[in-house]
Amino acid sequence: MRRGFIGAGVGLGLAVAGLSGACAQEPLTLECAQRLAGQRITIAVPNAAGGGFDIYARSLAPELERISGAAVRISNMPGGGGKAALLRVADAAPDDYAILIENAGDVASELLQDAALGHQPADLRALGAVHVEPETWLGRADLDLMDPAETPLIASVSSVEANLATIGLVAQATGHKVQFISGYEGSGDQIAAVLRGETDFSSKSLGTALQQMKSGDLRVALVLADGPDPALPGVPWLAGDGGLVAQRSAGLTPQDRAERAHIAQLAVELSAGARVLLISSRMRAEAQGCLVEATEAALLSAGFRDAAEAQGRPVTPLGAVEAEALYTAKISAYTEAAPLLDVIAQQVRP
Amino acid sequence: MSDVFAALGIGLHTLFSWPNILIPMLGTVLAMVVSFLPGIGAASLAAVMVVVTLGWAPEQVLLLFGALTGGATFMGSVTAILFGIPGNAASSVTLIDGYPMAQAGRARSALAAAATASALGSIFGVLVLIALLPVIRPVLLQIGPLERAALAIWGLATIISVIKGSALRALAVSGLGLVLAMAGSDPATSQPRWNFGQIALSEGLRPEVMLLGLFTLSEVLSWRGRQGLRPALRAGQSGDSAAAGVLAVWRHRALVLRAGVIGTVIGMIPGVGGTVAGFVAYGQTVQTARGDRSGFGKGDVRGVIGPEAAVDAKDGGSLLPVLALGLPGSEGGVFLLTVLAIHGFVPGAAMLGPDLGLSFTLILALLISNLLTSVLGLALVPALARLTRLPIERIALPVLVVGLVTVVQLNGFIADLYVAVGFAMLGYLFRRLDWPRVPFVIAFVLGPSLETNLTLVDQLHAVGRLELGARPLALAIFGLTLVSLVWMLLSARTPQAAPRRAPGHPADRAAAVVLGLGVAVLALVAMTGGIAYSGYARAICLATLAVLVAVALIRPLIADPAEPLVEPLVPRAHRLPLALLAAFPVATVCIGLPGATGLLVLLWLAPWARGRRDRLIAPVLATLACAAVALYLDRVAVLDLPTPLVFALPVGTR
Repeated sequence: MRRGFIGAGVGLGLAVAGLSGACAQEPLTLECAQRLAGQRITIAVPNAAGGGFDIYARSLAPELERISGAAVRISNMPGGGGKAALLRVADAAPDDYAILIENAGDVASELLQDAALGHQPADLRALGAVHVEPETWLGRADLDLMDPAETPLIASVSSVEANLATIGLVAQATGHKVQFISGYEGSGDQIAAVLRGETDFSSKSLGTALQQMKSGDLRVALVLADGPDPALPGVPWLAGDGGLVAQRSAGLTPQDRAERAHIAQLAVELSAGARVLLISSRMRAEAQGCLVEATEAALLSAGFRDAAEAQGRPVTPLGAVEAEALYTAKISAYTEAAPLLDVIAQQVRP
Repeated sequence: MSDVFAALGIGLHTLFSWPNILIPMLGTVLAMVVSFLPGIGAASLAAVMVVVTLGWAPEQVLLLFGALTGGATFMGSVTAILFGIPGNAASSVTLIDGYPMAQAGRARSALAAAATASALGSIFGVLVLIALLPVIRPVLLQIGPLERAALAIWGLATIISVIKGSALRALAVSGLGLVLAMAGSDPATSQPRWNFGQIALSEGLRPEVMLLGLFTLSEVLSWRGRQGLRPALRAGQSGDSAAAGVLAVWRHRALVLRAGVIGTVIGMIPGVGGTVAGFVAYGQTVQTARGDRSGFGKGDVRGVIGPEAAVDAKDGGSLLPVLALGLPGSEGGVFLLTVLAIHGFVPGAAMLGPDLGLSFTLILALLISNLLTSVLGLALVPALARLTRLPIERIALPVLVVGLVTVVQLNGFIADLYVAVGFAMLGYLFRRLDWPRVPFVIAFVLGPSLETNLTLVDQLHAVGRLELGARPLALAIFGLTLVSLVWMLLSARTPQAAPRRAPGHPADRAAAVVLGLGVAVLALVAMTGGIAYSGYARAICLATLAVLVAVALIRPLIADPAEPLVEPLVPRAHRLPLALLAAFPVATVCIGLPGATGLLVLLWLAPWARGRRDRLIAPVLATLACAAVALYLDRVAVLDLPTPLVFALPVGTR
């Protein structure tokens, strides 16, 4: 299952090629064109206007509207840290064309952990993904994770929970002792803490990290992936052959090495950012099918890519099958990792 | 240095070339209009403009965003002065003296003083920004959690300067502000705290919802049955003019300078913002004021000038961390960073080096925008002042409806209506009992900053990454705070500054008991709630409880029994609005927001219906309001709220 997710992320070219083939034909079947024409599609965004998800949604909307013939509107619902948007879609009626754009990992963990939401992860299914990217450890310029003297490492985080997989689990795999400094408000504050020398690193998405590296004060110390990243030559990666975990666990017993390799793989899967489009599983099957057709065509359109990239948002579109595999892999990974994450939370909480 | 002048020249050339000069002007007017409308904040406008400007030349985009940053600041103060309703948290400090000035028939003076002080403050801020930009980076990196905690303490200390009545009551409401601001989650452990399992409370109580409830809704309640804000306003007062306001600023130019320094320095610190700048400046204004200080809080123009200069001066300072480090200190900063990234600019060394000309373009647009806002503000003073002559009773209902719809729109949660109505009731109670609301706002806004940064300081000290004695800037801020405290306490003891003894009210004790019971429940939850409740949270909660107990016990002893009670706690004219407001969230859950709005309009107007025509008008207006809200939610706000209970109920089987 997890391999399927990794495959979906790394083998993006294949997915895009497949989508290209589909798109070369008429974007919608006649039946779907008739079904969607004149309907109303709502994309629920879990943050205020102007955020990352909002930019993706507003870039996608015109294309989706053009292809489907439906009226597409964007609804910003930042309440409860985005849970208002999640509930808007999870509670949607079967004939309501409501789409949530969110991080697959956040949706999976919230639905698994928060009983107050009254939904299970299976209540949603993926329509597609707009962008998949690995997480990184963005640190001070001289941070060397192979240096035995670098201990304990101090990480700036906004909350412990949000970084259990991206930092806590990773440290379990690499064998680093990491101390969380929790309470920094937002990404900028966490990065400023590194610049001030209060902390050694912070966990950031690849896109954010690349942007920050341009100033020259910070560098990516680790990519949370199972292979080298072409955008970051020479930067160590976490899992797989030649990765940081393999190097740091070289002297351990085979059993310990295998255990660490497994945790590293789990950390890669949980930490990867996957901005997916989700709908309610209760949506009528024929409506789901048509929405999948229209969304895949919109995701692959040049109009969407150009609009998103013009606003500094890279796109790596995935179709419904790949996105669903990615979403279910996240759910499986969170379910498997939950006990370990609980233990780590107890250890790292201030 | 020649590079700096060359870059300044590039900025000036870009700004004054045609048609670029139009961009900051249009941006300013747009920001002014939008910030005057409730519910569409400056941040929403910036978000829209990010998309609109995708195809623009980079320097034109910077001209627009500089204007958006500067244009929105002053307008929030207009409603604070005229109606006692601050447009944003930073403007709540202007309310302290601005609103009493308007009530005393000096609205023109207050508005003109605010506009002029804003202009001078912003010029000061921009000049400092230009001077420091090339060398500021190392200084900004000295500002961390300890410095921010010190500033929050300084801001909280200014509560002493805004106390008008009983110090005990001010302490009680400050404690309440700190306690309520802690709802949501603990900053260190991120464990849920005082949210009672409610998703709507998981991120805490939002300051915007608090402000709408505590000021807007609670104020509007008392407008029903009133013809104007004050009878005196109709006639106007002799000596009230825009020129008087401008001259007052000139007379107090040293105050503008001091406040400008405070605003600029505080603006540089990411995450602190204009609220702290305004309140710290107000505290300084009170304590350094020469002559009679008894008028502060009752309409002293110096209480408008100081905060306004500081809040606008902070705009310049707030650009420094964005340009020098690429770190946003506010929501506006986030959008600025976004447009910089879109157009290929890298904040940091590049914006201070090769792209310095573009940095100056942005700064000059900010300057032009701030100046234009103030000029337009001054030009509009007569028209704005006339707003106070509106039949207040007639605008109460529209303001109430807009306020309530805005509350729901902010987060997309109907549950926020309960929070806003709760704050409205609290605000109403405070107003009727003469308990001060401003200390509550200061504590509520600064509380999270104080707690979060103290938590960070504690953690960083524990791992050896912060030496408390080796932070000269923090020590300087603590020193200034100490001096301020001593000065304010000594000033409070002088006869002219002694607070008047507020008339007692029998409901004081009951209010203290009810609020105390609420805090006692929170304290009980905290004591048994585990790691989510830090020592800080428990201590603040218990201290607030102790103060409320003291208010309940001591209050009757200091009340003046000779003073007759003139008004009941809830006058007859306020009963219907209170009942309608209290029932509004329940009605919204049952019949939806449009339906509840229609019902509110109908029930508000129905008691006035006399003839046949009136009896027709009420349902027609109610239907129109219902349709307008439905249309607004669907087409403008794009908000699909949960299905109302009446539509979700299963239809009975035959």
